[in-house]
Amino acid sequence: MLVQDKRPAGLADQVGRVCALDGAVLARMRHEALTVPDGWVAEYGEFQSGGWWTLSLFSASGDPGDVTITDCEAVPTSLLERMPATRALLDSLGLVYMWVRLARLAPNSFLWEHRDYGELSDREHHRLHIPLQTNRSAGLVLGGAKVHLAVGDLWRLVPTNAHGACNLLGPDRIHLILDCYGNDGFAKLAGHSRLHDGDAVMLPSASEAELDRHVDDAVRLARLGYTDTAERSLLRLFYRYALPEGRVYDLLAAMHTALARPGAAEAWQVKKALMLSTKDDGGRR
Amino acid sequence: MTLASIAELVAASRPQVFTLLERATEKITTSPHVTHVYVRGSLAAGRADRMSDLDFVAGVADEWFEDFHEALDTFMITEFNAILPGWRDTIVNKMGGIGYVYLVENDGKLYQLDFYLVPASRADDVPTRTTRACLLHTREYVPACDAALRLKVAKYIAQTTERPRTSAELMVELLVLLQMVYKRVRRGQHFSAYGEWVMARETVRDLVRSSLVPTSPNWGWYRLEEELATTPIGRACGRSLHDLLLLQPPTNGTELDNIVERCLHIAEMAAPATVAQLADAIGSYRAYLDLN
Repeated sequence: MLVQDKRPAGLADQVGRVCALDGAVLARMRHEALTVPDGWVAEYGEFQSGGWWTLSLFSASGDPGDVTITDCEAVPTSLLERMPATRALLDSLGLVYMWVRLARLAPNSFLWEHRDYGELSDREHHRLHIPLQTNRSAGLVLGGAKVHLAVGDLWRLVPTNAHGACNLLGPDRIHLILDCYGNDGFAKLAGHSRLHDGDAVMLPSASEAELDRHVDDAVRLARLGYTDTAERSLLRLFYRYALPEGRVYDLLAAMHTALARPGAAEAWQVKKALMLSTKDDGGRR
Repeated sequence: MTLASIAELVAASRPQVFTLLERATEKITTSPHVTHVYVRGSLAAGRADRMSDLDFVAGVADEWFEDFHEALDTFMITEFNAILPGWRDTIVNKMGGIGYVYLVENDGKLYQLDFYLVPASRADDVPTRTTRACLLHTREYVPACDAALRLKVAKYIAQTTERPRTSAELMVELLVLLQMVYKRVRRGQHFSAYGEWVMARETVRDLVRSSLVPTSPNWGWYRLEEELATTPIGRACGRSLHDLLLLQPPTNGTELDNIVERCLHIAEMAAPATVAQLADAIGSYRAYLDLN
Protein backbone atom coordinates (compact mmCIF):
# COMPACT_ATOMS: atom_id res chain seq x y z
CA MET A 1 0.00 0.00 0.00
CA LEU A 2 1.21 3.47 -0.81
CA VAL A 3 2.23 5.38 2.27
CA GLN A 4 2.79 8.81 0.87
CA ASP A 5 1.03 11.76 2.40
CA LYS A 6 0.08 14.05 -0.42
CA ARG A 7 -3.18 15.40 0.77
CA PRO A 8 -5.43 16.59 -2.03
CA ALA A 9 -6.60 20.15 -1.85
CA GLY A 10 -9.77 20.32 0.25
CA LEU A 11 -9.28 17.12 2.27
CA ALA A 12 -8.70 19.12 5.45
CA ASP A 13 -12.02 20.87 4.76
CA GLN A 14 -13.74 17.47 4.78
CA VAL A 15 -12.02 16.03 7.84
CA GLY A 16 -9.44 17.42 10.21
CA ARG A 17 -8.30 18.26 13.70
CA VAL A 18 -10.06 21.15 15.34
CA CYS A 19 -8.42 21.51 18.73
CA ALA A 20 -6.36 19.53 21.21
CA LEU A 21 -8.07 18.01 24.25
CA ASP A 22 -6.59 17.51 27.68
CA GLY A 23 -4.91 14.10 27.93
CA ALA A 24 -5.93 13.48 31.51
CA VAL A 25 -9.57 14.29 30.74
CA LEU A 26 -9.50 11.96 27.73
CA ALA A 27 -8.02 9.18 29.86
CA ARG A 28 -10.86 9.56 32.33
CA MET A 29 -13.43 9.61 29.51
CA ARG A 30 -11.88 6.49 28.00
CA HIS A 31 -12.12 4.76 31.37
CA GLU A 32 -15.81 5.68 31.56
CA ALA A 33 -16.46 4.49 28.02
CA LEU A 34 -14.77 1.15 28.69
CA THR A 35 -16.42 0.47 32.03
CA VAL A 36 -19.83 2.12 32.24
CA PRO A 37 -21.90 1.30 29.15
CA ASP A 38 -23.76 -1.91 28.58
CA GLY A 39 -26.61 -2.82 26.26
CA TRP A 40 -24.88 -1.57 23.13
CA VAL A 41 -27.27 -1.24 20.19
CA ALA A 42 -26.69 -2.36 16.63
CA GLU A 43 -28.47 0.08 14.33
CA TYR A 44 -28.30 1.13 10.67
CA GLY A 45 -27.87 -2.45 9.62
CA GLU A 46 -27.98 -1.64 5.91
CA PHE A 47 -24.95 0.59 6.21
CA GLN A 48 -22.59 -1.55 8.20
CA SER A 49 -20.90 -4.92 8.21
CA GLY A 50 -22.00 -5.80 11.72
CA GLY A 51 -19.67 -4.86 14.56
CA TRP A 52 -20.75 -1.22 14.84
CA TRP A 53 -22.49 -0.53 18.13
CA THR A 54 -23.79 2.70 19.60
CA LEU A 55 -25.36 4.17 22.71
CA SER A 56 -26.69 7.70 23.03
CA LEU A 57 -25.43 10.27 25.51
CA PHE A 58 -27.73 13.00 24.23
CA SER A 59 -30.94 11.98 22.48
CA ALA A 60 -34.51 13.07 21.90
CA SER A 61 -35.91 10.79 24.59
CA GLY A 62 -33.13 10.55 27.16
CA ASP A 63 -32.97 6.80 26.53
CA PRO A 64 -29.43 5.66 25.70
CA GLY A 65 -30.83 2.87 23.53
CA ASP A 66 -32.49 5.41 21.27
CA VAL A 67 -29.75 5.66 18.65
CA THR A 68 -31.50 6.63 15.41
CA ILE A 69 -30.53 10.25 14.98
CA THR A 70 -33.04 12.89 14.06
CA ASP A 71 -33.50 16.62 14.51
CA CYS A 72 -34.52 17.35 18.10
CA GLU A 73 -33.84 19.35 21.23
CA ALA A 74 -31.57 16.72 22.71
CA VAL A 75 -31.48 15.90 26.41
CA PRO A 76 -28.82 14.03 28.40
CA THR A 77 -29.50 10.32 28.67
CA SER A 78 -29.41 8.17 31.78
CA LEU A 79 -26.08 6.78 30.55
CA LEU A 80 -24.45 10.21 30.50
CA GLU A 81 -25.50 10.73 34.12
CA ARG A 82 -23.10 7.89 34.99
CA MET A 83 -20.20 9.38 33.01
CA PRO A 84 -19.32 12.63 34.82
CA ALA A 85 -16.01 13.32 33.08
CA THR A 86 -17.64 12.91 29.69
CA ARG A 87 -20.56 15.08 30.77
CA ALA A 88 -18.23 17.82 31.94
CA LEU A 89 -16.31 17.83 28.67
CA LEU A 90 -19.47 17.92 26.57
CA ASP A 91 -20.92 20.73 28.66
CA SER A 92 -17.73 22.76 28.31
CA LEU A 93 -17.68 22.87 24.52
CA GLY A 94 -20.45 25.49 24.14
CA LEU A 95 -22.30 23.50 21.50
CA VAL A 96 -25.99 22.89 20.83
CA TYR A 97 -26.34 19.14 20.52
CA MET A 98 -28.74 17.40 18.18
CA TRP A 99 -27.48 13.98 19.20
CA VAL A 100 -24.37 12.57 20.88
CA ARG A 101 -23.44 8.92 20.64
CA LEU A 102 -20.77 6.62 21.95
CA ALA A 103 -19.76 4.41 19.04
CA ARG A 104 -17.79 1.18 19.18
CA LEU A 105 -16.41 -0.27 15.96
CA ALA A 106 -15.16 -3.82 16.47
CA PRO A 107 -12.19 -5.37 14.66
CA ASN A 108 -12.77 -6.29 11.01
CA SER A 109 -15.87 -4.07 10.96
CA PHE A 110 -16.94 -1.38 8.57
CA LEU A 111 -19.39 1.37 7.80
CA TRP A 112 -19.69 0.99 4.06
CA GLU A 113 -19.31 3.96 1.68
CA HIS A 114 -22.25 6.28 2.32
CA ARG A 115 -23.43 9.85 2.92
CA ASP A 116 -25.09 11.19 6.08
CA TYR A 117 -27.72 13.78 7.03
CA GLY A 118 -29.94 13.10 4.06
CA GLU A 119 -33.01 12.72 6.26
CA LEU A 120 -32.45 15.81 8.40
CA SER A 121 -33.92 19.31 8.20
CA ASP A 122 -32.38 22.35 6.55
CA ARG A 123 -30.86 23.52 9.82
CA GLU A 124 -27.09 23.88 9.84
CA HIS A 125 -25.69 20.52 11.05
CA HIS A 126 -22.13 19.64 12.00
CA ARG A 127 -20.36 16.46 13.10
CA LEU A 128 -17.46 16.20 15.50
CA HIS A 129 -15.56 13.10 16.65
CA ILE A 130 -13.68 12.56 19.90
CA PRO A 131 -11.57 9.42 19.55
CA LEU A 132 -11.18 7.67 22.91
CA GLN A 133 -9.55 4.40 21.83
CA THR A 134 -8.22 3.54 18.43
CA ASN A 135 -5.48 1.79 16.45
CA ARG A 136 -3.63 2.57 13.25
CA SER A 137 -5.72 0.21 11.13
CA ALA A 138 -8.85 2.25 11.94
CA GLY A 139 -9.74 5.25 9.83
CA LEU A 140 -12.17 7.17 7.69
CA VAL A 141 -11.83 6.81 3.95
CA LEU A 142 -12.87 9.73 1.82
CA GLY A 143 -11.58 11.60 -1.17
CA GLY A 144 -9.19 8.78 -2.03
CA ALA A 145 -7.44 9.02 1.32
CA LYS A 146 -7.50 7.07 4.55
CA VAL A 147 -7.46 9.39 7.55
CA HIS A 148 -6.62 8.02 10.97
CA LEU A 149 -8.39 10.01 13.71
CA ALA A 150 -5.82 9.92 16.48
CA VAL A 151 -6.68 10.24 20.15
CA GLY A 152 -5.87 13.63 21.60
CA ASP A 153 -7.85 16.00 19.42
CA LEU A 154 -11.39 17.00 18.63
CA TRP A 155 -11.99 16.18 14.97
CA ARG A 156 -14.50 17.52 12.48
CA LEU A 157 -16.01 15.49 9.65
CA VAL A 158 -18.32 16.79 6.93
CA PRO A 159 -20.42 13.63 6.60
CA THR A 160 -22.46 14.77 3.62
CA ASN A 161 -19.43 13.82 1.50
CA ALA A 162 -19.21 10.14 0.57
CA HIS A 163 -17.13 8.37 3.17
CA GLY A 164 -16.67 5.06 4.97
CA ALA A 165 -15.24 3.96 8.30
CA CYS A 166 -13.08 0.93 8.95
CA ASN A 167 -11.39 -0.90 11.76
CA LEU A 168 -9.41 -3.46 9.81
CA LEU A 169 -7.50 -5.26 12.55
CA GLY A 170 -8.57 -3.97 15.96
CA PRO A 171 -8.69 -3.69 18.90
CA ASP A 172 -12.03 -1.86 19.28
CA ARG A 173 -12.25 1.72 18.05
CA ILE A 174 -14.34 3.86 20.40
CA HIS A 175 -15.39 7.40 19.44
CA LEU A 176 -17.79 10.00 20.75
CA ILE A 177 -19.81 11.27 17.80
CA LEU A 178 -21.25 14.73 18.35
CA ASP A 179 -23.93 15.93 15.93
CA CYS A 180 -24.64 19.56 16.66
CA TYR A 181 -26.30 22.65 15.23
CA GLY A 182 -24.44 25.67 14.04
CA ASN A 183 -23.97 28.38 16.66
CA ASP A 184 -21.35 30.86 17.76
CA GLY A 185 -19.78 28.22 19.97
CA PHE A 186 -19.25 25.89 17.04
CA ALA A 187 -17.91 28.66 14.82
CA LYS A 188 -15.43 29.67 17.49
CA LEU A 189 -14.40 26.10 18.32
CA ALA A 190 -14.39 24.38 15.01
CA GLY A 191 -14.34 26.96 12.31
CA HIS A 192 -11.06 25.71 10.92
CA SER A 193 -9.76 22.16 10.72
CA ARG A 194 -6.32 20.95 9.70
CA LEU A 195 -4.43 17.75 9.12
CA HIS A 196 -1.02 16.94 10.52
CA ASP A 197 1.64 15.15 8.52
CA GLY A 198 0.87 11.47 8.68
CA ASP A 199 -2.85 11.88 9.47
CA ALA A 200 -3.86 11.08 5.90
CA VAL A 201 -2.48 8.38 3.64
CA MET A 202 -3.37 8.58 -0.02
CA LEU A 203 -4.70 5.27 -1.16
CA PRO A 204 -3.25 3.85 -4.37
CA SER A 205 -5.27 3.78 -7.53
CA ALA A 206 -6.30 0.43 -8.93
CA SER A 207 -6.08 -0.42 -12.59
CA GLU A 208 -9.01 -2.06 -14.30
CA ALA A 209 -6.91 -5.22 -14.55
CA GLU A 210 -6.38 -5.23 -10.79
CA LEU A 211 -10.07 -4.70 -10.14
CA ASP A 212 -10.92 -7.47 -12.59
CA ARG A 213 -8.57 -9.75 -10.68
CA HIS A 214 -10.33 -8.93 -7.42
CA VAL A 215 -13.70 -9.65 -9.00
CA ASP A 216 -12.33 -12.96 -10.28
CA ASP A 217 -11.11 -13.83 -6.77
CA ALA A 218 -14.54 -12.97 -5.38
CA VAL A 219 -16.24 -15.10 -8.04
CA ARG A 220 -13.98 -17.99 -7.00
CA LEU A 221 -14.98 -17.55 -3.35
CA ALA A 222 -18.65 -17.45 -4.32
CA ARG A 223 -18.30 -20.62 -6.42
CA LEU A 224 -16.71 -22.30 -3.42
CA GLY A 225 -19.93 -21.52 -1.58
CA TYR A 226 -18.88 -18.39 0.31
CA THR A 227 -20.95 -15.67 -1.36
CA ASP A 228 -21.15 -13.46 1.74
CA THR A 229 -17.39 -13.64 2.12
CA ALA A 230 -16.96 -12.79 -1.53
CA GLU A 231 -19.16 -9.73 -1.19
CA ARG A 232 -17.31 -8.51 1.88
CA SER A 233 -13.97 -8.99 0.18
CA LEU A 234 -15.07 -6.60 -2.56
CA LEU A 235 -16.62 -4.09 -0.16
CA ARG A 236 -13.29 -3.95 1.67
CA LEU A 237 -11.61 -2.67 -1.49
CA PHE A 238 -13.03 0.78 -0.71
CA TYR A 239 -10.55 0.92 2.19
CA ARG A 240 -7.63 -0.28 0.11
CA TYR A 241 -7.79 1.71 -3.11
CA ALA A 242 -8.77 5.22 -4.16
CA LEU A 243 -11.91 4.37 -6.10
CA PRO A 244 -14.44 6.61 -7.82
CA GLU A 245 -17.58 7.15 -5.80
CA GLY A 246 -19.77 4.05 -5.80
CA ARG A 247 -17.31 1.96 -7.81
CA VAL A 248 -17.15 -0.76 -5.18
CA TYR A 249 -20.89 -1.37 -5.56
CA ASP A 250 -20.37 -1.69 -9.31
CA LEU A 251 -17.79 -4.42 -8.62
CA LEU A 252 -20.35 -6.31 -6.56
CA ALA A 253 -22.83 -6.09 -9.38
CA ALA A 254 -20.13 -7.31 -11.78
CA MET A 255 -19.41 -10.31 -9.53
CA HIS A 256 -23.03 -11.37 -9.51
CA THR A 257 -23.30 -10.81 -13.26
CA ALA A 258 -20.33 -13.15 -13.72
CA LEU A 259 -22.15 -15.69 -11.54
CA ALA A 260 -25.27 -15.32 -13.70
CA ARG A 261 -27.24 -13.86 -10.79
CA PRO A 262 -28.91 -10.79 -12.36
CA GLY A 263 -31.26 -10.28 -9.42
CA ALA A 264 -28.38 -9.94 -6.99
CA ALA A 265 -26.53 -7.66 -9.40
CA GLU A 266 -29.54 -5.37 -9.61
CA ALA A 267 -29.93 -5.41 -5.83
CA TRP A 268 -26.41 -4.02 -5.44
CA GLN A 269 -27.15 -1.19 -7.84
CA VAL A 270 -30.23 -0.35 -5.77
CA LYS A 271 -28.11 -0.46 -2.65
CA LYS A 272 -25.60 1.89 -4.25
CA ALA A 273 -28.34 4.45 -4.79
CA LEU A 274 -29.49 4.08 -1.18
CA MET A 275 -26.02 4.39 0.34
CA LEU A 276 -24.96 7.38 -1.74
CA SER A 277 -28.28 9.14 -1.92
CA THR A 278 -28.39 12.92 -1.81
CA LYS A 279 -30.28 14.93 0.79
CA ASP A 280 -33.44 14.78 -1.29
CA ASP A 281 -33.55 11.00 -1.28
CA GLY A 282 -32.43 10.22 2.28
CA GLY A 283 -29.37 8.51 3.70
CA ARG A 284 -28.70 8.24 7.31
CA ARG A 285 -26.56 7.34 10.20
CA MET B 1 -27.97 -27.39 43.23
CA THR B 2 -29.61 -29.33 40.44
CA LEU B 3 -27.86 -30.90 37.47
CA ALA B 4 -29.52 -28.39 35.21
CA SER B 5 -27.90 -25.54 37.14
CA ILE B 6 -24.47 -27.16 36.90
CA ALA B 7 -24.91 -27.45 33.16
CA GLU B 8 -25.71 -23.76 32.99
CA LEU B 9 -22.59 -22.95 34.98
CA VAL B 10 -20.48 -25.09 32.69
CA ALA B 11 -21.94 -23.38 29.64
CA ALA B 12 -21.35 -19.93 31.13
CA SER B 13 -17.74 -20.75 31.98
CA ARG B 14 -16.96 -22.37 28.69
CA PRO B 15 -13.73 -21.06 27.14
CA GLN B 16 -14.32 -18.68 24.23
CA VAL B 17 -12.35 -20.99 21.97
CA PHE B 18 -15.40 -23.25 21.79
CA THR B 19 -17.51 -20.35 20.54
CA LEU B 20 -14.87 -19.75 17.91
CA LEU B 21 -14.93 -23.47 17.09
CA GLU B 22 -18.70 -23.41 16.56
CA ARG B 23 -18.58 -20.28 14.44
CA ALA B 24 -15.67 -21.55 12.35
CA THR B 25 -17.23 -24.96 11.78
CA GLU B 26 -20.53 -23.45 10.76
CA LYS B 27 -18.86 -21.06 8.33
CA ILE B 28 -16.38 -23.48 6.80
CA THR B 29 -19.05 -26.11 6.16
CA THR B 30 -21.15 -23.61 4.21
CA SER B 31 -19.19 -24.73 1.18
CA PRO B 32 -20.56 -27.85 -0.51
CA HIS B 33 -16.99 -28.72 -1.51
CA VAL B 34 -15.81 -29.17 2.09
CA THR B 35 -16.21 -32.90 2.66
CA HIS B 36 -14.64 -33.36 6.11
CA VAL B 37 -13.92 -31.17 9.11
CA TYR B 38 -11.78 -32.52 11.91
CA VAL B 39 -10.62 -30.81 15.06
CA ARG B 40 -7.26 -31.89 16.44
CA GLY B 41 -5.01 -31.05 19.33
CA SER B 42 -6.06 -30.14 22.85
CA LEU B 43 -9.72 -29.59 21.92
CA ALA B 44 -9.94 -33.13 20.56
CA ALA B 45 -8.00 -34.51 23.53
CA GLY B 46 -10.19 -32.84 26.15
CA ARG B 47 -7.32 -30.70 27.46
CA ALA B 48 -8.44 -27.31 26.16
CA ASP B 49 -8.02 -24.20 28.29
CA ARG B 50 -8.66 -20.51 27.71
CA MET B 51 -5.48 -20.11 25.71
CA SER B 52 -5.90 -23.18 23.53
CA ASP B 53 -5.56 -22.80 19.83
CA LEU B 54 -7.98 -24.19 17.32
CA ASP B 55 -6.63 -26.97 15.12
CA PHE B 56 -8.80 -27.63 12.08
CA VAL B 57 -8.36 -30.06 9.26
CA ALA B 58 -10.67 -29.50 6.31
CA GLY B 59 -11.06 -32.01 3.52
CA VAL B 60 -11.80 -30.28 0.23
CA ALA B 61 -13.00 -31.96 -2.95
CA ASP B 62 -9.88 -32.63 -5.04
CA GLU B 63 -11.19 -30.70 -8.03
CA TRP B 64 -11.68 -27.62 -5.81
CA PHE B 65 -8.53 -27.95 -3.71
CA GLU B 66 -6.40 -25.46 -5.60
CA ASP B 67 -9.15 -22.81 -5.66
CA PHE B 68 -9.79 -23.26 -1.96
CA HIS B 69 -6.10 -22.91 -1.19
CA GLU B 70 -5.79 -19.75 -3.28
CA ALA B 71 -8.81 -18.22 -1.49
CA LEU B 72 -7.82 -19.24 2.03
CA ASP B 73 -6.08 -16.04 3.17
CA THR B 74 -8.92 -13.85 1.90
CA PHE B 75 -11.42 -16.16 3.58
CA MET B 76 -9.62 -16.05 6.93
CA ILE B 77 -9.02 -12.28 6.89
CA THR B 78 -12.55 -11.45 5.78
CA GLU B 79 -14.49 -13.96 7.88
CA PHE B 80 -12.35 -14.66 10.92
CA ASN B 81 -10.57 -11.39 11.62
CA ALA B 82 -7.14 -12.82 10.86
CA ILE B 83 -4.76 -9.95 11.46
CA LEU B 84 -2.05 -11.39 9.19
CA PRO B 85 -1.89 -13.71 6.20
CA GLY B 86 -1.35 -17.34 7.16
CA TRP B 87 2.02 -18.73 8.15
CA ARG B 88 2.74 -21.88 6.17
CA ASP B 89 3.02 -24.36 9.01
CA THR B 90 6.29 -26.27 8.88
CA ILE B 91 5.90 -28.12 12.20
CA VAL B 92 2.48 -29.71 11.77
CA ASN B 93 2.06 -33.44 11.14
CA LYS B 94 2.20 -34.34 7.47
CA MET B 95 -1.32 -35.41 6.57
CA GLY B 96 -1.13 -35.11 2.81
CA GLY B 97 -2.08 -31.45 2.49
CA ILE B 98 -0.95 -27.95 3.43
CA GLY B 99 -1.31 -26.25 6.81
CA TYR B 100 -1.40 -22.63 7.80
CA VAL B 101 -1.41 -20.84 11.13
CA TYR B 102 -3.51 -17.72 11.54
CA LEU B 103 -3.78 -15.24 14.39
CA VAL B 104 -7.45 -14.31 14.64
CA GLU B 105 -9.23 -11.83 16.85
CA ASN B 106 -12.17 -13.12 18.85
CA ASP B 107 -13.86 -11.32 21.71
CA GLY B 108 -11.00 -8.84 21.98
CA LYS B 109 -8.27 -11.47 22.23
CA LEU B 110 -5.88 -13.08 19.80
CA TYR B 111 -6.29 -16.79 19.14
CA GLN B 112 -4.19 -19.13 17.07
CA LEU B 113 -6.22 -20.97 14.43
CA ASP B 114 -4.40 -23.74 12.59
CA PHE B 115 -6.07 -24.58 9.30
CA TYR B 116 -4.88 -27.68 7.49
CA LEU B 117 -6.27 -28.32 4.01
CA VAL B 118 -6.24 -31.84 2.67
CA PRO B 119 -7.67 -33.21 -0.58
CA ALA B 120 -10.89 -35.13 0.08
CA SER B 121 -9.33 -38.22 -1.50
CA ARG B 122 -6.93 -38.35 1.46
CA ALA B 123 -9.19 -36.98 4.19
CA ASP B 124 -10.28 -40.35 5.55
CA ASP B 125 -6.64 -41.08 6.45
CA VAL B 126 -6.26 -38.00 8.67
CA PRO B 127 -6.96 -39.81 11.98
CA THR B 128 -4.17 -42.28 11.23
CA ARG B 129 -1.68 -39.47 10.66
CA THR B 130 -2.22 -37.45 13.78
CA THR B 131 -2.39 -38.13 17.49
CA ARG B 132 -6.06 -37.43 17.93
CA ALA B 133 -8.71 -36.07 15.60
CA CYS B 134 -12.43 -35.71 16.12
CA LEU B 135 -14.61 -35.68 13.05
CA LEU B 136 -17.05 -32.78 13.32
CA HIS B 137 -18.55 -32.83 9.87
CA THR B 138 -18.67 -35.03 6.87
CA ARG B 139 -20.48 -34.72 3.60
CA GLU B 140 -21.20 -37.44 1.13
CA TYR B 141 -18.51 -37.13 -1.47
CA VAL B 142 -18.33 -39.07 -4.68
CA PRO B 143 -14.88 -38.41 -6.01
CA ALA B 144 -15.07 -37.05 -9.51
CA CYS B 145 -11.35 -37.38 -9.56
CA ASP B 146 -9.09 -39.81 -11.20
CA ALA B 147 -5.44 -40.69 -10.80
CA ALA B 148 -4.37 -37.80 -13.01
CA LEU B 149 -6.23 -35.30 -10.84
CA ARG B 150 -4.82 -36.77 -7.65
CA LEU B 151 -1.35 -36.49 -9.10
CA LYS B 152 -1.99 -32.89 -10.16
CA VAL B 153 -3.15 -31.96 -6.66
CA ALA B 154 -0.21 -33.76 -5.07
CA LYS B 155 2.18 -31.89 -7.35
CA TYR B 156 0.51 -28.59 -6.49
CA ILE B 157 0.87 -29.35 -2.78
CA ALA B 158 4.52 -30.29 -3.18
CA GLN B 159 5.32 -27.14 -5.16
CA THR B 160 3.55 -24.97 -2.61
CA THR B 161 5.25 -26.50 0.41
CA GLU B 162 8.70 -26.44 -1.19
CA ARG B 163 8.53 -22.83 -2.40
CA PRO B 164 11.00 -20.57 -0.54
CA ARG B 165 9.35 -18.21 1.92
CA THR B 166 9.19 -14.52 1.09
CA SER B 167 10.31 -11.90 3.62
CA ALA B 168 6.66 -11.11 4.35
CA GLU B 169 6.00 -14.79 5.05
CA LEU B 170 9.03 -14.94 7.34
CA MET B 171 7.79 -11.89 9.25
CA VAL B 172 4.41 -13.53 9.73
CA GLU B 173 6.16 -16.73 10.85
CA LEU B 174 8.18 -14.74 13.39
CA LEU B 175 5.11 -13.02 14.83
CA VAL B 176 3.21 -16.30 15.08
CA LEU B 177 6.12 -18.05 16.80
CA LEU B 178 6.57 -15.22 19.29
CA GLN B 179 2.87 -15.41 20.08
CA MET B 180 3.27 -19.15 20.66
CA VAL B 181 6.20 -18.46 22.98
CA TYR B 182 4.06 -15.94 24.83
CA LYS B 183 1.31 -18.50 25.30
CA ARG B 184 3.72 -21.15 26.58
CA VAL B 185 5.26 -18.74 29.06
CA ARG B 186 1.85 -17.80 30.43
CA ARG B 187 1.02 -21.47 30.86
CA GLY B 188 4.35 -22.24 32.51
CA GLN B 189 5.31 -24.61 29.68
CA HIS B 190 8.94 -23.54 29.73
CA PHE B 191 10.32 -26.47 27.72
CA SER B 192 7.90 -25.83 24.85
CA ALA B 193 8.57 -22.11 25.14
CA TYR B 194 12.27 -22.82 24.75
CA GLY B 195 11.68 -24.93 21.63
CA GLU B 196 9.57 -22.27 19.97
CA TRP B 197 12.03 -19.56 21.03
CA VAL B 198 14.77 -21.44 19.17
CA MET B 199 12.55 -21.58 16.10
CA ALA B 200 11.77 -17.85 16.35
CA ARG B 201 15.46 -16.96 16.37
CA GLU B 202 16.06 -19.18 13.37
CA THR B 203 13.26 -17.34 11.59
CA VAL B 204 14.97 -14.02 12.32
CA ARG B 205 18.16 -15.54 10.91
CA ASP B 206 16.33 -16.68 7.77
CA LEU B 207 14.74 -13.26 7.34
CA VAL B 208 18.16 -11.59 7.61
CA ARG B 209 19.81 -14.05 5.24
CA SER B 210 17.06 -14.01 2.61
CA SER B 211 16.83 -10.21 2.70
CA LEU B 212 20.52 -9.26 2.82
CA VAL B 213 22.26 -12.18 1.09
CA PRO B 214 19.52 -13.64 -1.09
CA THR B 215 21.95 -15.41 -3.43
CA SER B 216 23.84 -17.18 -0.66
CA PRO B 217 24.41 -20.89 -1.37
CA ASN B 218 24.53 -21.56 2.37
CA TRP B 219 21.76 -22.25 4.80
CA GLY B 220 21.21 -22.33 8.54
CA TRP B 221 23.90 -20.58 10.57
CA TYR B 222 26.75 -21.68 8.30
CA ARG B 223 29.04 -18.80 7.25
CA LEU B 224 26.38 -16.22 8.13
CA GLU B 225 28.86 -13.92 9.93
CA GLU B 226 31.12 -13.81 6.89
CA GLU B 227 28.27 -13.12 4.48
CA LEU B 228 26.84 -10.31 6.61
CA ALA B 229 30.22 -8.71 7.26
CA THR B 230 30.50 -7.19 3.79
CA THR B 231 28.23 -4.17 4.47
CA PRO B 232 27.45 -1.86 7.44
CA ILE B 233 23.78 -2.94 7.46
CA GLY B 234 24.86 -6.58 7.40
CA ARG B 235 27.29 -6.07 10.26
CA ALA B 236 24.67 -4.23 12.32
CA CYS B 237 22.18 -7.06 11.75
CA GLY B 238 24.87 -9.59 12.62
CA ARG B 239 25.62 -7.89 15.93
CA SER B 240 21.94 -7.61 16.86
CA LEU B 241 21.32 -11.21 15.88
CA HIS B 242 24.25 -12.30 18.02
CA ASP B 243 22.81 -10.37 20.99
CA LEU B 244 19.47 -12.07 20.39
CA LEU B 245 21.09 -15.48 20.63
CA LEU B 246 22.38 -14.64 24.09
CA LEU B 247 18.90 -13.92 25.46
CA GLN B 248 17.12 -16.49 27.56
CA PRO B 249 13.54 -17.43 26.66
CA PRO B 250 11.11 -14.91 28.16
CA THR B 251 9.49 -15.74 31.46
CA ASN B 252 7.09 -12.80 31.63
CA GLY B 253 5.43 -10.11 29.57
CA THR B 254 8.19 -7.54 30.06
CA GLU B 255 10.86 -9.93 28.80
CA LEU B 256 8.67 -10.92 25.89
CA ASP B 257 8.16 -7.27 25.02
CA ASN B 258 11.91 -6.77 24.99
CA ILE B 259 12.37 -9.75 22.70
CA VAL B 260 9.64 -8.62 20.31
CA GLU B 261 11.22 -5.18 20.19
CA ARG B 262 14.67 -6.62 19.39
CA CYS B 263 13.29 -8.95 16.71
CA LEU B 264 11.40 -6.10 15.05
CA HIS B 265 14.50 -3.92 15.17
CA ILE B 266 16.50 -6.56 13.31
CA ALA B 267 13.65 -7.11 10.85
CA GLU B 268 13.45 -3.40 10.20
CA MET B 269 17.18 -3.23 9.41
CA ALA B 270 17.03 -6.26 7.13
CA ALA B 271 13.67 -5.80 5.43
CA PRO B 272 12.33 -2.28 6.07
CA ALA B 273 9.76 -2.36 3.27
CA THR B 274 8.26 -5.59 4.60
CA VAL B 275 8.04 -4.25 8.14
CA ALA B 276 6.43 -1.04 6.84
CA GLN B 277 3.91 -3.08 4.87
CA LEU B 278 2.93 -4.93 8.05
CA ALA B 279 3.10 -1.89 10.35
CA ASP B 280 -0.63 -1.73 11.12
CA ALA B 281 -0.80 -5.47 11.74
CA ILE B 282 2.22 -5.33 14.04
CA GLY B 283 0.60 -2.46 15.95
CA SER B 284 -2.60 -4.44 16.45
CA TYR B 285 -0.60 -7.58 17.35
CA ARG B 286 1.23 -5.69 20.09
CA ALA B 287 -2.03 -4.22 21.39
CA TYR B 288 -3.67 -7.64 21.62
CA LEU B 289 -0.65 -9.11 23.43
CA ASP B 290 -0.56 -6.05 25.68
CA LEU B 291 3.02 -5.25 24.73
CA ASN B 292 4.23 -1.66 25.07
